[in-house]
Amino acid sequence: MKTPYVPIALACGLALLSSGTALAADSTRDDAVTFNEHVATIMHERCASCHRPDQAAPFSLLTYEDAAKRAQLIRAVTGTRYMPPWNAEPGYGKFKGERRITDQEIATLAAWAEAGAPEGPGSAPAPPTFSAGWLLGEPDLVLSMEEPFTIPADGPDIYRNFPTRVPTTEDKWVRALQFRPQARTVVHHSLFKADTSGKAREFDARDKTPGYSGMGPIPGKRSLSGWAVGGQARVFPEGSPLFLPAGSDFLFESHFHPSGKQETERSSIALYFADKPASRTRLSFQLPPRFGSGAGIDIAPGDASFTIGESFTLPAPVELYGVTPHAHYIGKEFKSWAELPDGSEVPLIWIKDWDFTWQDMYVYEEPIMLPAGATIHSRIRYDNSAENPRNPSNPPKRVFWGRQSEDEMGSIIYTALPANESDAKAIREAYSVINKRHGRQAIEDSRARRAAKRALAARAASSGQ
Amino acid sequence: MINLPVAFLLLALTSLPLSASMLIDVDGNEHALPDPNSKATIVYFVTQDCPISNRFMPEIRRICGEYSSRDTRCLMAYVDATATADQIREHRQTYDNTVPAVHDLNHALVALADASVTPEAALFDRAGNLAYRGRINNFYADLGTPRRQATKHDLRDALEDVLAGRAVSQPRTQAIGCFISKFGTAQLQETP
Repeated sequence: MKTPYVPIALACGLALLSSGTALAADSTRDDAVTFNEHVATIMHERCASCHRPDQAAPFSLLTYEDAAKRAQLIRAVTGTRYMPPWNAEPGYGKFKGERRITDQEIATLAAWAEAGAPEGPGSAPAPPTFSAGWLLGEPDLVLSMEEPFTIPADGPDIYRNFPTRVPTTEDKWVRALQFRPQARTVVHHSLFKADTSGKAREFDARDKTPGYSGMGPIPGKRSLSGWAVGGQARVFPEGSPLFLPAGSDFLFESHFHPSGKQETERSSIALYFADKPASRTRLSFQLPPRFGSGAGIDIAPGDASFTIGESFTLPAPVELYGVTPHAHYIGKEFKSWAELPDGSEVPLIWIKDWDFTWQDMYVYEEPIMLPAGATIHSRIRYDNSAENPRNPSNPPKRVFWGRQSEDEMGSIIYTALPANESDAKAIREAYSVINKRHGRQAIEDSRARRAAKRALAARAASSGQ
Repeated sequence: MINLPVAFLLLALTSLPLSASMLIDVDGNEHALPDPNSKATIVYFVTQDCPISNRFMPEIRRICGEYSSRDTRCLMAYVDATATADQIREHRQTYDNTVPAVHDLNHALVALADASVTPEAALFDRAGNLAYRGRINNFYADLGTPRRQATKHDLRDALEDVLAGRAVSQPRTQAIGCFISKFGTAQLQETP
């Protein structure tokens, strides 16, 4: 009974399509949504930083034709807020570089798609212009991956680390940086580290192809921030540049997704140095500490609500600068807030549907001032059910803390500056109490984990016989 | 219910340059649909700039390679009416795509299979019945949510059913990808 309707449906479709002039006439009505009047500005302001020629996004959205032929796709991906990609919950912390679109703009795009994506009278506003060179001017140093890495056409996403020799002979302080991928369609994010231990280079030497995979431990590894698709140059707070010790290896910890054709990547980074060392102590603490190694991560298969968390009461006021949530594939929800001495709450970050592929550092639009006595809380929930499409194991397996991607970690990393430099030591000492407690627990957890894994292996062996 | 011969549909729906049941690919070769010489014909709906569609190119090549000796034929339908011949040629070269490609300018094939997104597969049996239409596999759970690997291979399963002469157990699935747009098809309809 279905087929006889097909020709009719198609005939109607053709009739609609051939009446393009009727649509154009409609679009002259005052309330009609058109590209030239309404949609172009949204495309330019919300999408064009990536969706323009030679950028990371797979297609451009600058012109009428670009957008009109994707009107339904645009409606769908903005409706679910998959695009623009920004995973933090609106109204729960205000961050720099938020790639966000308003409800009103989403409604406009939906109405435009519904109306058949009319162009409208007149002409569209000119698309924005983007600088072709480094955004912050001539860099002090540009580092590039020592060898290009080939991303195959096909297969699962790739996480790989590339140590790159820093040619400076003295310590440097990085006040700003800008990352530039080469194969823009396959580089999804890169986290920057400094390694003074030589360990990363050892891992690299053991691996025949450029760089190395895995999350092997690197003692004393220092974070130098990172980049994710859509990211621009990054400027650190005045007086708090990042330390790049002499003789370090700069480490690109990169995530690639195969695009269907083979690609070659050689990332570069422009570094801008400060004239003098940091005058303010950069405080970095994790809740729970140690990426959750002492937080009792042991998640039963099928458990969709396993939760960990930790709290830290500040002995002195801080300016909270940014937060970086971290978990692997089955991390599901992150929430953090500060409880002030007067009982009020300050929202810090909330991610309802964690996506491992968007490893952003969330930097506050304005630093959040937290007074002495404020307690920072973190909650991280995991979904180890088969219904979680990001679950790397099918069927789900018992998941422990560990460095491999099918293991889990969990913490929120907070970056802050002490409001008064003289308080830095007291804040560190207060945090170290929690950190040490987790350190002791991590040893216990690790024993329990080894025993559980032995038991699992024994059971698997006996059931296999 | 959906067993109406495809040739009839093509006659009813399209104005292809040669006979109604003949498709002409971008290299000028003719392909009959239905094809009495093939047990199964897969039509892949693709767009040259849809990242999800592109990520499936290796799997499309693999399926066509593995089943070519089993009486199965592949066609690729490029459905962006605004795509130029050069863009399609470049795309085929870039993705090492030797599957015969048709530019489905007036969406005759889209209508025939009732395809709605790229990538999507339509599987026709020898008689031209639409035995399966939907996703190639479940690698994407949603837009932006690829799995580590696909856990259900719907098109391969359907192919096995058709080649064994069985009814396809799940003849329709929802593909995840870029919506097929009619943009550009209207102007073509108006061209004399």
